Amino acid sequence: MYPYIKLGDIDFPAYNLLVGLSLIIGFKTFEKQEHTYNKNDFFIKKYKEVIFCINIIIGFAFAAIFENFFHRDFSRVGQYGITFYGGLVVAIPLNLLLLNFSLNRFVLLLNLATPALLLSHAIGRVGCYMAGCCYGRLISDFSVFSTLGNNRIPTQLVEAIMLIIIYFIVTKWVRFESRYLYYFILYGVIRFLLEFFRDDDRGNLFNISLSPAQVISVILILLALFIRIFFKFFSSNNYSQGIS
Amino acid sequence: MKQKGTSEVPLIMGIIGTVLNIPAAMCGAACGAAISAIGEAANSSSASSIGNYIVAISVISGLSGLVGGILGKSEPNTAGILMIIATVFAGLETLGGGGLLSLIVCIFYLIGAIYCFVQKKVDV
Repeated sequence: MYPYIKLGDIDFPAYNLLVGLSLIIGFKTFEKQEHTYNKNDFFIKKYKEVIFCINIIIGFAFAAIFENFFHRDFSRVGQYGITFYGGLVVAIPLNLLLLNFSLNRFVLLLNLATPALLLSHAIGRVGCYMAGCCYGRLISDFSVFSTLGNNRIPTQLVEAIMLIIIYFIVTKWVRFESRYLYYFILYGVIRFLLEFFRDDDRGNLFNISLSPAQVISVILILLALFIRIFFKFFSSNNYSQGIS
Repeated sequence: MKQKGTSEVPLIMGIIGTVLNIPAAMCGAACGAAISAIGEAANSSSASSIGNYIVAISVISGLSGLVGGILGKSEPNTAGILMIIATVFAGLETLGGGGLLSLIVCIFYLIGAIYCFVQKKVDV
């Protein structure tokens, strides 16, 4: 846990710097993917910067609002931090709206954004480790991973490594058209399992024993499986294969 | 013919400036309110209003800097204007008690704004 990077008299907050780095790398990755894979869609080509801006601003705002919602407390938005799933859940209807409810275009955008999302999220998790949030349960070993003065499971770093592995899987071994489905399934499973090892206040969604992130993980996995199975067997319009 | 920028500097300066602007704003709001509360004529409402003022200008400067940074290549002139707005508001934040971090944010935005205008441009 190293919340500040000291340069002279100034303490730079490490979490904020890593979030900034994640945004820069995310944008450059998205731009590169767009340049490589988007040959036909001129709307996304023309407005990619605007789409990115709106997603960042609205995504971060709702990431904070959702964390308050999970804690049933709206007295001060942002007091519980931010949650990745809050931004992701809002990004889906937001981008459908931005792309004028064109499902083909939306799937293309999702596939273009998946590698950027994975890399940005991984860097953000390193930021979480530096800031000392999103920590795991107490353990006796691994003294190098000390958070809040205790030895804890470094769930942030485990998640960051897993995100990098998913990044390599979806960019190297998965077809472009199916990237987002693999992302939803793989990240959903990993996040669902990692939640059992988290020890910070997870909040509550439906008054059940599962954490809000686990509920959303299950929904994402089921959604991805539904899209894969439904459009494979029951429809000639194959949205699981992306834009033609 | 439309012109497009080639430099990454506005993007880096805009985003790093914005992420550093958040702690600077919180510090500025707290410091500004504290300074006001210590003053003889100040009461709790004026202290609170100074805090709100610093938060409001930091939100404006942060959003302008972020949007300006991201648009730095595709719309260099618009991005430059947005980053100048961000620089001015970050400067006001510094004067309102934002401290050294706020001054650094202001310098980052200013460098980004200059690069928006002077970067090498290509016709598209």
